[in-house]
Amino acid sequence: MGGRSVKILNKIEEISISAAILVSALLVLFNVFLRLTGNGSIWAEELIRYLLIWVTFIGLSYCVRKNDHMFIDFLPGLLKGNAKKSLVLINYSIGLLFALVFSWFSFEFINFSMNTSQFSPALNVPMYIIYIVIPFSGLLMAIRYSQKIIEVLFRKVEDIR
Amino acid sequence: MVLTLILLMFVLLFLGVPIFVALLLSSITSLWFFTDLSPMIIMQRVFGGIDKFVLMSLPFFILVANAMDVGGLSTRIIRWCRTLVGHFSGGLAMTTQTAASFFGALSGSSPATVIAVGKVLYPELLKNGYTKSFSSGLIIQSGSVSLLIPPSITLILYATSTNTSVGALFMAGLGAGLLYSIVVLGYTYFYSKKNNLQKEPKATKYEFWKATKEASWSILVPVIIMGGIFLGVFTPTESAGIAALYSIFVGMAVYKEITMKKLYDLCLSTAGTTAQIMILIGAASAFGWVLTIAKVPLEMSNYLAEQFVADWSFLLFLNLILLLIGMFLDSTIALVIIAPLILPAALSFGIDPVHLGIIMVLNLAIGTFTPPFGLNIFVANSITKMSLVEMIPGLVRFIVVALVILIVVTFVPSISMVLPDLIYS
Amino acid sequence: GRDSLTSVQAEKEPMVIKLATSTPLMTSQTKGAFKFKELVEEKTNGEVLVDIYPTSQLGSLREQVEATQMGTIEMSISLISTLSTFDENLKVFEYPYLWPTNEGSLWKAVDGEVESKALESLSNNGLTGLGFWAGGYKAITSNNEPVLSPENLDGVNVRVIPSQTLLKQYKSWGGNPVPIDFSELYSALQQGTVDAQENPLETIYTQKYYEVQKYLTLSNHGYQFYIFTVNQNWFDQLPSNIQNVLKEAENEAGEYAVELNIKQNKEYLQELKKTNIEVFELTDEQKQTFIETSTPLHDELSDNKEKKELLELIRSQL
Ligand code: NA
Ligand code: NA
Repeated sequence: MGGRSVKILNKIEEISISAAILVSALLVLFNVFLRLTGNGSIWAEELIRYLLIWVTFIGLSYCVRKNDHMFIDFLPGLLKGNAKKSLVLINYSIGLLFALVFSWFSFEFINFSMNTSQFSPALNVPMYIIYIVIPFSGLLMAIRYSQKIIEVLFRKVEDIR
Repeated sequence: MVLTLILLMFVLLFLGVPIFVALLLSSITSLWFFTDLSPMIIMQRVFGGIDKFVLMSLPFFILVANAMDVGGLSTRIIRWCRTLVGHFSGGLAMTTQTAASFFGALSGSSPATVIAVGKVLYPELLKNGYTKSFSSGLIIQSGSVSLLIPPSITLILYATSTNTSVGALFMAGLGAGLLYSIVVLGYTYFYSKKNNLQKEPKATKYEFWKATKEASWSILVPVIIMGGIFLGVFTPTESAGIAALYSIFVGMAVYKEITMKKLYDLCLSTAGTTAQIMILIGAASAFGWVLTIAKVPLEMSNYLAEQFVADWSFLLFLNLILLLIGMFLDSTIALVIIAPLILPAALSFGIDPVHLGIIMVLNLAIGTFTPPFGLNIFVANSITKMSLVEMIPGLVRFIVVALVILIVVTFVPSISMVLPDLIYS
Repeated sequence: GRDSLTSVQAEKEPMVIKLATSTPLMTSQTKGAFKFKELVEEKTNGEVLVDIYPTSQLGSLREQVEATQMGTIEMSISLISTLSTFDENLKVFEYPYLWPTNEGSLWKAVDGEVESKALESLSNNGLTGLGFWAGGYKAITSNNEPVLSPENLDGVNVRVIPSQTLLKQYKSWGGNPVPIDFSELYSALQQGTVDAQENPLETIYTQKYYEVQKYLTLSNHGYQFYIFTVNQNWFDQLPSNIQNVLKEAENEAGEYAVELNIKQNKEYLQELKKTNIEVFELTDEQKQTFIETSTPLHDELSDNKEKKELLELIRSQL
């Protein structure tokens, strides 16, 4: 994947999750307004919930890219030089493996969900439409971990975080 | 299966892969190799673990904290608090604990409290000469009170799974939560006195008035939240979203410190923190599901009920087990699975279900800041940027304080029972 | 000799079934589940064992149904209002004032054709329904004034679960239906975010809503059904003698749970009368005004052929 398309992907990822945060807060206000004016709606609550779940799943990829995920830094903190580089490579490879396994079973889950006819109670959309973010998140993470591995391979030992 | 699950998780954690990856990869692997269940259930459990409306207050409170930070609201509140209590020994540390009780009374979410308070006060504590270790410990434990002081998601979960009065539990939680706060306040006072931490000169009337006026828009944030909830305008979860919008409004229109670019950045960083925390809750939920299927929690609590003859030894052991569980499991999962199983044993020892609830929640609250897996430690890591090893000494002193409180709360039931008894009988 | 005996035993490892319920231990649904376990284990001499996971331990109602579809849980006892998001035809069972307002006539109408027609519809979703279980009649609690006619609901914020049926029902009665999450309902009633709510007596009693509500109307406007569901693929490939044992045990445990539910609801009502909440029963006239406003909804909400047929069938059984 070229540098340009990666930049576009990054931008789409960032804009979508930050917009979703703001929109969901505005929806809360709108929902309260509807209730106070006697026009109680049943869809807003569900939409807020699913928006924020989408933020979580898309945000997974963003946090992989930014190295923001929480981890225990005991061993990584001890190692230096080539040992550290190897450990980082191992960890990113485990991450990539995880992302692929995660995507695989998510696709299985979507496939299962498409063969059943479950609809969300309030928005009345098929649940697989809402679940689709899970395999999407898995694939994004796989792209990010691949990028990370390539970055580390071509980087000098001293520059490893 | 359980052995593989736990062993693999530890190895992955030790290597330093993200915690959610360790939890999920070990869960998927153990289902795949040791059962004929499809690991796609893990995907469903991750989704289901975060698909809860009350959890939605979490991103909003993170947004409140970020907006108050970027919008200049937090600095004005702190300036005001300083003119109020800064001249006491440990003034700023005391402000931290008070603010946490306050935020805890708003959010009912322990990690959200750590974020809200820590983001603002952690750098201030460092600037004022508190050590990194003490400050991080103070911040990380400060989330605990939010599980006790109402509204509390955890207490509601306990009430629903054991058929106990939510109102009575809230009253009991308020009693125990206030005790917790007072003891920590006392400890910080003596710590600061002993270490001779710098005090500030007492503010003049004019300085106090000026700080109050400047902070008034900011002080309205908690007023809006509490007022809105108590007047029934919105639910606690909704209040978080409203407070976030209000903070953004004040930061943009009144203080003019939030530009469009900054708004974008603060939403983005909120989204990142949201993903970090929510995925941990989801992954813990999936991991807990595998443990439940393997009957680990069930066997543990059966053992508990069989072993003890006296209520004091039962309570003591209950505390030990709960502390252990709290160290490894998400508090909500631990509570929902274990509370109904322990209740019959507790009732046979004559322990009040409300009192038991407070003991359980306090234990799990301590679990949120106990290494190695206390959720708030990782949450706070986004603020302190300290390694786990660096944080341990600071945490240990607060764990000791909390254990003292736990013993008092366990063996003096009247602390929990006085308010509910007063109101509900 | 000894060795061959143990090896025969080792070959015959018992089959273990996971059964999930969404309700706490003392409820009729979960007690019924334990009855089912007892019967199955007895009838098969321990060749089939049942593990029960109560109180939504394995996930929320929605996730519990989904896991049964997947087959990660073999069986679950699930609310019809949740199952109706998987099979929309089941929404018919939630129509207001569709059912007789006493349990005897209600179960007489449900048992037989209505039940089998509903279970047949459900079977298109990878789920086999073994039978209907009881949840009890819904009652309405309120704070401003007792709900004795639709007028008492004018402009009142009523908490509902997200459901088009309930939305239309309360709108037709003049109320302002708003969804509030179950976990926030107690405090929302306490603070007055909403003034009224509907639930079976069991929920009203166990969630202590009587602490924060003044009036309780035994409106009996709807009935909460549960369905005992099993994973279809799994069930279909079981030997027929095991299938029969499971069916028999479900039948017996279901009857036990219905009776227990009726008995418990009487006890809950007695307990509720001892609290500060004021209990109202509707006179036939009062009920009639609700029924008149609700009946047009039955046809309006039946927006496909299957629902219309189901509705007709139910009407014919009343
Ligand atoms: Na709280
Ligand atoms: Na924990």
